[in-house]
Amino acid sequence: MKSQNLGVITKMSKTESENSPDSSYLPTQFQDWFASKGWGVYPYQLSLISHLKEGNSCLLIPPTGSGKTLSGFLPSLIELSKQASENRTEPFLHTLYISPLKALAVDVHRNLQTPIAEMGLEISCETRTGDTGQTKRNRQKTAPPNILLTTPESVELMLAWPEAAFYFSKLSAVIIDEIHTVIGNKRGDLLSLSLASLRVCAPNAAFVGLSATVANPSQLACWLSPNPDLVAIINPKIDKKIDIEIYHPNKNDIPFAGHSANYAVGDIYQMISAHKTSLIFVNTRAQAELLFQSLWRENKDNLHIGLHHGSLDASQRRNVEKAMAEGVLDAVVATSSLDLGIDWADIDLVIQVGAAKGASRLIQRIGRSGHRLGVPSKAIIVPANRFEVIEAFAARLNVSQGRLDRLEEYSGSLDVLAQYIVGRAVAGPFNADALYQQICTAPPYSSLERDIFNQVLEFVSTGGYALEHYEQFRRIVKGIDGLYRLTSRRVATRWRMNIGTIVETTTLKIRFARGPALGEIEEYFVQSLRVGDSFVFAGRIVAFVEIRKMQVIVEPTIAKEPKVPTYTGGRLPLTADMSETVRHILQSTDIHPSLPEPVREWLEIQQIYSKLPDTDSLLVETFQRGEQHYLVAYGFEGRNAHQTLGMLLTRRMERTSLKPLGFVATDYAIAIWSLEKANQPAPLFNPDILGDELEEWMAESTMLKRSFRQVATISGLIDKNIPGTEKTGKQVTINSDLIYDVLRKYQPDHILLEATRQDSARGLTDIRRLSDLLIRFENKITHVDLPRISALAIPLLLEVGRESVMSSAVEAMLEELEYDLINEIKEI
Amino acid sequence: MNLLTPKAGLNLASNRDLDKAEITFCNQLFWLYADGSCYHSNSQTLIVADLHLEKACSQSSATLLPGYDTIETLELLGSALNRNPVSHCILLGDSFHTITAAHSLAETYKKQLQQLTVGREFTWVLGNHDPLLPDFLNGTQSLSSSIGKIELRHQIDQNEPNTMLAPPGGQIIAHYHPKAKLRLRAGTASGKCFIFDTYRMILPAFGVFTGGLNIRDKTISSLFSQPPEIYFCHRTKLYHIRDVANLCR
Repeated sequence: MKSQNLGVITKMSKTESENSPDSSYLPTQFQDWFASKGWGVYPYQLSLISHLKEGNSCLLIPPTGSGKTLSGFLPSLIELSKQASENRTEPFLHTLYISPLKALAVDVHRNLQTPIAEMGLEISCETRTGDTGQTKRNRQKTAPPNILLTTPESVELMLAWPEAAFYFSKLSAVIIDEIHTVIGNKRGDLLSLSLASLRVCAPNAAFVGLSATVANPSQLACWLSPNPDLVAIINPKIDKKIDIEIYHPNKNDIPFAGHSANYAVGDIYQMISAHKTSLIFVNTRAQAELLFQSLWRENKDNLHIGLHHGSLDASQRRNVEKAMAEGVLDAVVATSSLDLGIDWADIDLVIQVGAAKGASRLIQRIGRSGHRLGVPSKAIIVPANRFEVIEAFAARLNVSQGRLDRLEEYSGSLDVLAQYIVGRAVAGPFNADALYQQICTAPPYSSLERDIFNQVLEFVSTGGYALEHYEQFRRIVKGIDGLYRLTSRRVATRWRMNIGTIVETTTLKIRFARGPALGEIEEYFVQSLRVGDSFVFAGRIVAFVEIRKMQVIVEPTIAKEPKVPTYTGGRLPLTADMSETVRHILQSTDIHPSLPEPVREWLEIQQIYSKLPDTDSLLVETFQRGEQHYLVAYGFEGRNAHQTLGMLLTRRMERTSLKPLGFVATDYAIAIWSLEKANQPAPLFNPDILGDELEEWMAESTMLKRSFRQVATISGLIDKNIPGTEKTGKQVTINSDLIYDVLRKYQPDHILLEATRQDSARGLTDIRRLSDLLIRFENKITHVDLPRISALAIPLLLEVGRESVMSSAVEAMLEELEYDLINEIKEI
Repeated sequence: MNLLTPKAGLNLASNRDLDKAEITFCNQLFWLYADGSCYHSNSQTLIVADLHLEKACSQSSATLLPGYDTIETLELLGSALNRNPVSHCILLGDSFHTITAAHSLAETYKKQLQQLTVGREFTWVLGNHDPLLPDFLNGTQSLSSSIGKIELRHQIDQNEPNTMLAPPGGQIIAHYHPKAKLRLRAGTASGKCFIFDTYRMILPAFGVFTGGLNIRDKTISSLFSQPPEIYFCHRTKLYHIRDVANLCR
């Protein structure tokens, strides 16, 4: 097996580094430094240096965890060191680095200090984020550093300076780290627009995208230049052996449902013991806390185990990372917070607990292990339930066949566009035609229609209401010179306060009464706590004491059954590419013998008793349990699409008097229970359900109201709830639901409602995947009527009661509150 | 799990109608409704508070709320007036968001308002937002009103140092826009609410874009000398909140 680990900075022999074609591009100073580290320089790094010398934009897709960040900065460091040695350093920004995570920018800053200090380079390098103090910000404005490390929001704020064009004019390089993570979301939309502005301000800058492995790199290239053909895609292929094992319990059965993988904790502990350093990935922060607790109970040998997730305090995470790099830890339990970021120490095993939900993600995680030459990346997937076993096999198959997850086609959101247009006016007077042209160079907005742009412009100017007397309230006016200008400085102030696209979750700091901060916790979860309630956080069990100055105060406690905090956005739906492979595995009985015994038997029973789902039809089962009739459909289109399907089907069933009572949706299937039996389920799945019925449901749905709140905030209609700021007694907040209702009643074609519909069609409701499913299987419904529950339906019904209740059930719960208490009173 | 109906086997018929709450306050019977209105059937009086008409149009130029609030609030007022026989309607202050807005009210809204007053006595209690109202409004303008011994005014006497002290005959006020946030089995729900103890009741704001102040805020809790009763409004229904532990900030 050829195991050349291209593009990875690793220890290697001197002869090899002497042979590499580096001398012309790498100054002696740098060569010496590399040599002193015992590092070789790799072709891709040289290729990047040469492209940037020519001013070409590049997309760099190095293998994960391979020192790609240093690689991205290498050309800038070389050029800046040359300038310094020739005494022609100018007080201009040379390199702008944009990171999706504030913490990552800080990490990168720290890591850059090493080469700069060790080579004695006269290069200034600073961070600028929401945490940067006012004095430093002001100084950065007048005396910029050579290299500035920042976030998309900070870039957008800087671009609104009237002097932005001058400030960025001499910029040579713009580095966008982890660019694959911002595509297909609002944060990315804003970044794409900022990049369009940057291209105008900094005409000579080369744009460098650093990305993890993706299926279609050319899709990323268009983010770096309006002419993607000019972007050099540097994608060193690694011919590295990836060894994926799927965990197979010896004694224990594999659970039907659940996500804790508790059944395997003993064996996971054994795996950790048998390896030097293990990285254990889970999908959610809650799972991380739970697994950490269980491992701790198993820990007879006093192994050093760490915990790492996005809600922990930065200093705590830093400590874990440091201990890991020093080789002090035996294992770390982590979430996607470790998907991104800096290089890791010698990890010889990656354990993925639960399904990774996508092949790309799995590869990225596996890439964390075995960085040394000739050492294969070793990973073990531990499925938490039987469906996840199949999903694990599907993921392994996709990885081995190089079938990575595609980034979906996506059009930019209109609320972000509104925010951006106001920002442009804050920067200075603008011409609408020129702005429209510029916006169209941002990939998410490349097919933006002029009419839609005009409506958004009208919205930010006047509100865009069909009300005559509203003309007087203008935020932006068009002058006789044809340029649009702000009407008042207050608009600018308000825009700066509300910038950004993250509005959904409010978090509170959590700490001991005397002691350091532990991290952040969602306000939503805190509201469910009563004094004395215990929960796990940062690997400890703590009890809720009080909320003081917008901070959650806790104390250590010993409790048997602590709660686990809820975190939104932890669970990603199964990707489309994965669901196809899962279907394929289910239908290919020749693969089944390689599955673990319990799963094989489970599928055999399903095959004999009902049918196995396949790639050509949609399997629908009906059966009765107790008083209730069940309808189960195996769509494999991910939780979000299934939720929507559940909502639509239950409405349809209500109309046909089947008396539906409830439903449960997972990544794989949905189950609906009703009082009457659906004898002919096929017509229920007719794609015409996506017409009026979808419209009707969407209009009433609380989900749409939630989307509207986000749209109204991002577009600047209502102010952001800024976490950590205490509400004053006089402050009243207008409920965005009311605005939504009124707007819908009086101006249903308003652009913000359109923006809301577009948003919910992709995010929470995932209507595109649902419609793909229904259209693909129109007239291809396989209905099996069973006397009792099928094998595949068992996991689904076990989920009933575990999934949280949808907000549409608020009335029901309010009535419970009302009636429960009445009953209590009656009992007394 | 997605529940479509309340708990199975629940006998709805045995419980009260959630569309309205019948309460006794200072020996008088009142009907509370989820739109925030309060009806005294003995005197056929409807009390509504804090309409804040023309609020959206009175915002600064930095915000551009849709200006459909006035027409919507007036429609809601129309429905409230037609629900039960109303011979007297008391508007408990801050009926207009600003004096200017009141005086320059569009003709269509003027007409809409005048139609509502036909055949009814209207009392415009003045509030801090509208200390002076235009003459074209039918009815009387005053600083306070009453139902029996109960005093009705926009807010408490600002000169009274003891905020908990209410007149012995009882008092109904507005101004504070009380809202509650409830902890449910899963998640929370928030909305406006009625809140009262033996001597004082605060009505929720009736206007559509009025916003609210959490009743756990000191500004509101310092107005009650006893643990208050709370009726929570959600869509068309009212829920009696008996356990304050379910209230959150």
